[in-house]
Amino acid sequence: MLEPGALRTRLEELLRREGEPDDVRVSDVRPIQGGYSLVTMGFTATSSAGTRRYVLRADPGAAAIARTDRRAEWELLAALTADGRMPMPAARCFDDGALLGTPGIVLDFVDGPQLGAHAGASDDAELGRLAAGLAETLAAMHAVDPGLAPACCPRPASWDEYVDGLIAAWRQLEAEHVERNPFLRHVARWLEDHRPPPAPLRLVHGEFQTGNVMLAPDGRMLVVDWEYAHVGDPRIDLGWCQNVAAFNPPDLIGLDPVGFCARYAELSGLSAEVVNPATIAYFSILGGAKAFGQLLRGIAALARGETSVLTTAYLVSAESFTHRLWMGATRQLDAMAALQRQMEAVR
Amino acid sequence: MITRPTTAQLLGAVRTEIAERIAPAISDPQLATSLHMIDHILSTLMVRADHELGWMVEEMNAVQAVATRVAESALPGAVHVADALTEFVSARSGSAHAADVTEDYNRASEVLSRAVEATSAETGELRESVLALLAGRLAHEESVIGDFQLVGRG
Repeated sequence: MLEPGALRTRLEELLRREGEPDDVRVSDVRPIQGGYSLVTMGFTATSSAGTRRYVLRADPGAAAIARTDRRAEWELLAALTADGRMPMPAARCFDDGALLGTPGIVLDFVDGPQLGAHAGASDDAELGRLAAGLAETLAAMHAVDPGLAPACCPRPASWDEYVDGLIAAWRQLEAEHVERNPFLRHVARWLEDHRPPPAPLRLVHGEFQTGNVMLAPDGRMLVVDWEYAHVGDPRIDLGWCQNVAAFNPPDLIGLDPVGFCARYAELSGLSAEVVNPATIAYFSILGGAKAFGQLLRGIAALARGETSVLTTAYLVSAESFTHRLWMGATRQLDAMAALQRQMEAVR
Repeated sequence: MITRPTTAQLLGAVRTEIAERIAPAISDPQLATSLHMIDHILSTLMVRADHELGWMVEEMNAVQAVATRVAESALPGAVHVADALTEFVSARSGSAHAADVTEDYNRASEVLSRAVEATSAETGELRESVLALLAGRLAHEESVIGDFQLVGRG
């Protein structure tokens, strides 16, 4: 575990190594709430060159298992920072653990609230403005050349391979669980049967939600926490954003899903056939296996007697809660498709 | 066997003690959250104690009835349903002990899963019957969790 006191001198050494003046001093090292898996600390660096505030994103240390690779994340963030078009705080430097004791990345600090927290306290007019900004931010993200992604970034050979892999993840979850689950099998088959038209593969965030968007003082939305970035279908980011909003409202896409999709489609150059509320809803389900897998693995460990953590026992109810969400989503999309078929038949 | 008060009533007494005497004495927010989780788990156990075995048996009978029709259909996946159905029927224990019923139910769940897959391209009555099985299973799960809400991170 990184202790703020010991971290201060290590950060000073890291900043000097990266070109800060010898008189640089680090102060105000404080944990930032939000992430589950990584240590996130804000700190101030003061030197004869000026005062700046940064954020350290680091692996949690030897006692915990980091689910993703900081070096790979750094390679991506460094490439995106050099390119300058991705709406994100600039990444400044990386340490492989030699100085900090654990691999970590230093980025510019964004002096503003999370978009989700801000939206939760906003009136209707502000929510509309935020939704428009979110569509623009997503379109800007997805306009970045996916060729910038380093070789370590997951990159499917085709759209079909990408979607096949995500559907296979649903099947694998069910196969590895401690009991058979017809809801998972239903979702996997439904996803196979309802593939939307393909979209060009882009660099996607992989865990896009309003909690991973910061509002800068100048009004820009800056996207953080890129550990799950990969080359994939850009609708996975819109879908995951809606998925998380089901648990953490408000749903900025759901305020006016048709309008949101139209704006994103206009900015991204994708057609209305490719980007619409139905295709976004498809991806909100498709991308859910990763998060649900974490839940199911905990439940399975409890069933096997490998853990007795109270939170895991409590979250057994979350499994049923998500069954309800998926059944509702697939039924709703089936109903929408049936209605569309009827309307086309009338025409 | 002492059957009155029921298991659910005993669990209810535990919940009352927690809510009325223990929770007010807890000031630590983490412990208060733990107590909230414990109360929710106990509430689910009350429903499960009252209904779980009965619901599993009812669901298994319903799955067997519908899956038999799917297995006898001309659908491409019918043979897979038939295989799972044969295994379920031949292995069904007939025991009323929870561990045995749970094993039976697990095999019935595989039958239902295959019926879901076999009828996925259908729109008729058979498909509706299969979906009704899923809906019934979900209704039981919802009865267990009550007003549970999953709140994620901000």
